[in-house]
Amino acid sequence: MRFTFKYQVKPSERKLNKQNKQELQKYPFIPIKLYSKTKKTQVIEALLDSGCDGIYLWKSVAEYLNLQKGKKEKGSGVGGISAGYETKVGLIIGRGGREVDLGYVTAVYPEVQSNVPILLGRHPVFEKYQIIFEEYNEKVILIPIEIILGKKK
Amino acid sequence: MEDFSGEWVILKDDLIIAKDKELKVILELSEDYDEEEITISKEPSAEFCFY
Repeated sequence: MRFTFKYQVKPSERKLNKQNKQELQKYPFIPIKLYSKTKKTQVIEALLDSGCDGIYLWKSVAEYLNLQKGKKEKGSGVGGISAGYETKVGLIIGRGGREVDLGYVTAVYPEVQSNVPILLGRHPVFEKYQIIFEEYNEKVILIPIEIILGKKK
Repeated sequence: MEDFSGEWVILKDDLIIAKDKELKVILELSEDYDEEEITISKEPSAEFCFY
């Protein structure tokens, strides 16, 4: 399933009219749901981040979904180096009937929470989709890799 | 205008109906709503973001 997501202004600016929004900063948020064997979240806006190696969760999500605490890892970002834990989490991309369930995917969550959103990095999303950031159009397009590979035959 | 910097929020029809610094609180509050009725999002902490 192909997706097109419009960039979004930050939550506090959503209610502004279209004209007022034109000059505002917008972000490539992707609606996702996360799940475990026992629970599922509501739709959460995750930031699509090509600079992130994988999926970065908040520790609270791991606790809420009772995710397994896996291998301890060291991660580095703008804020410096920090420790985190690998886990598996169910990932659904999309909403409102237009959804794809990617199944259980590897994610990391920090030992000490820092103030970043949930990040959708390259593994596995960028491996499963051709991703086109149309910054000038304020939208991001996800095309299943099967369609791209099928076209190239 | 209220400052939501760094807060997790619940959006319903583009309106913020709940906010908290702790995502855990928001996740628990979100259980009161039907699936797809709301969206959970995070207000950036600053004007310029480096992630």
